[in-house]
Amino acid sequence: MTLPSTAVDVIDQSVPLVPGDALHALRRQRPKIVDATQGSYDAMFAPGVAGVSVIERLAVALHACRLGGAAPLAAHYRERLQSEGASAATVAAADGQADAPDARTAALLGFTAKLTHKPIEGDHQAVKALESVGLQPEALVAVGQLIAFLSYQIRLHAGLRALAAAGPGPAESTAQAGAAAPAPVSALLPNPIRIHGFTNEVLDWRPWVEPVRLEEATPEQLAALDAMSPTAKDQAYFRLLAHQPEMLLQRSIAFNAIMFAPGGMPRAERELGATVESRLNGCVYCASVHAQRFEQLAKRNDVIAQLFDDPANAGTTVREKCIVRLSAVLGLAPAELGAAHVHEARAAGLSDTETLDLVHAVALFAWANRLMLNLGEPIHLDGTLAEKGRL
Amino acid sequence: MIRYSAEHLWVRLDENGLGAVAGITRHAQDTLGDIVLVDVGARGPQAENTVIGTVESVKTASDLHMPLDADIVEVNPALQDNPGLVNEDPQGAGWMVRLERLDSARFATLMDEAAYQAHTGA
Repeated sequence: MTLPSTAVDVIDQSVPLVPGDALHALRRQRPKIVDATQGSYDAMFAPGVAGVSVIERLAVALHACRLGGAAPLAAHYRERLQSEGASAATVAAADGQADAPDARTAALLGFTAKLTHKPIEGDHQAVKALESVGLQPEALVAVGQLIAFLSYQIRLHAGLRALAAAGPGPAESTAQAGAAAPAPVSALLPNPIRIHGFTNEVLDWRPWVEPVRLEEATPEQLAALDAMSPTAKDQAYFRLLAHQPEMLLQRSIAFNAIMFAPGGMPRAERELGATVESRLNGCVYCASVHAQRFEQLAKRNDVIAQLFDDPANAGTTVREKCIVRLSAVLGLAPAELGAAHVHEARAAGLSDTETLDLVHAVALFAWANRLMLNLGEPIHLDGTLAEKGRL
Repeated sequence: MIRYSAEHLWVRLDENGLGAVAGITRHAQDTLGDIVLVDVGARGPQAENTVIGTVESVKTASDLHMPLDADIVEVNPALQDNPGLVNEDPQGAGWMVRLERLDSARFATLMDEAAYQAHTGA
């Protein structure tokens, strides 16, 4: 069982948001996401996670938030790290102000930097480097999940700060939210699309770390897989993540709440945001899955071809271009997202509810891409290695 | 009495014959896999074959086509929080829409169980 490590909501505290604020209320329109975000935080720093200490995890968190330009979150993790009794050398290394005090901390912080800044550079060697300093599969998954979650947390924090900086938006009616979806303006291009290593073909994924074997799975691991979906047991990706069942469970709740919540931003546009983030991170697998889902929902794939070819100029309407641009800034440089981007979104017809839905979707794929890129690799259905994405 | 459309929806007539409920068939949910979202936006009078919404599974997203001319008067509220009901009980608790003013002549010409089985190759 995971016990809450803090009585406060870390995102509310760091933005900050307080009850009575319009933005606090806006965030509570998606209560499952609020709960799963905090639930994930609690799972990431639970004392019972084996193989990587709470101090090591907090050092990783501080380092990621420093690199991600999220000063209030970095301050939160620095304070927790110090209160856990970390050495001054460890805090300084995590803060980027000194070399790591030992090889294991250096390996952890190096992996953090790579995943945070350039997840496409993740490779099997990086995982082996962590194994060489003593990390077993359970700890590898914990560290991978943690850094990926921090990438989500940093972007959610940045999105909410941008909305706060923009001030109150125009009043929203239920009818407005989601009603301004772009009309399909073009046709379905011939499939499959294959551009710069990205494709909308169906792919599979192969892990670099041994997944949980079902015959050896604990009841908690089986329950987390069942909660994901009845078919999750058949997929290596989910069986790998089941090494840390509470983290998997909270991730799954967050995923479903963000991608399938009713109302707000139309589903196809959430899939577009997910595809933008995946394209810019070089996650061929996620880009493939969510390009397919966009096409199924929107009945067109023109913007997908544009996105794979030239993400900086993708979009078939003013609204769609705005969604792509906002997603790109949030994905690549979250600290640069500001009030101007929110004003631009409002001018393009997005309600603040829709903008927050987009922020959630992009942030979620900052999380998902990093797991896919750093714990395994995409393969074709015949088992051959898929082409690497070219950014 | 239950009938089936070629687009894999079932329609069950109420005992009084005035209304009906409809949803996707067991075969459809088997093919789609785990359902994660049922989004039916249409209400009121709808013509046969009109797209009335979307059903999403972990594998794909599919349009829902109106099985015959009728009015949609209710969408199953339980599916919003628990779309998995469609997998668990596709022709019971996983119903999707309640219909009224349906075209009874057309209902009679939809496929019966045997015809639908043949249609799906079962």
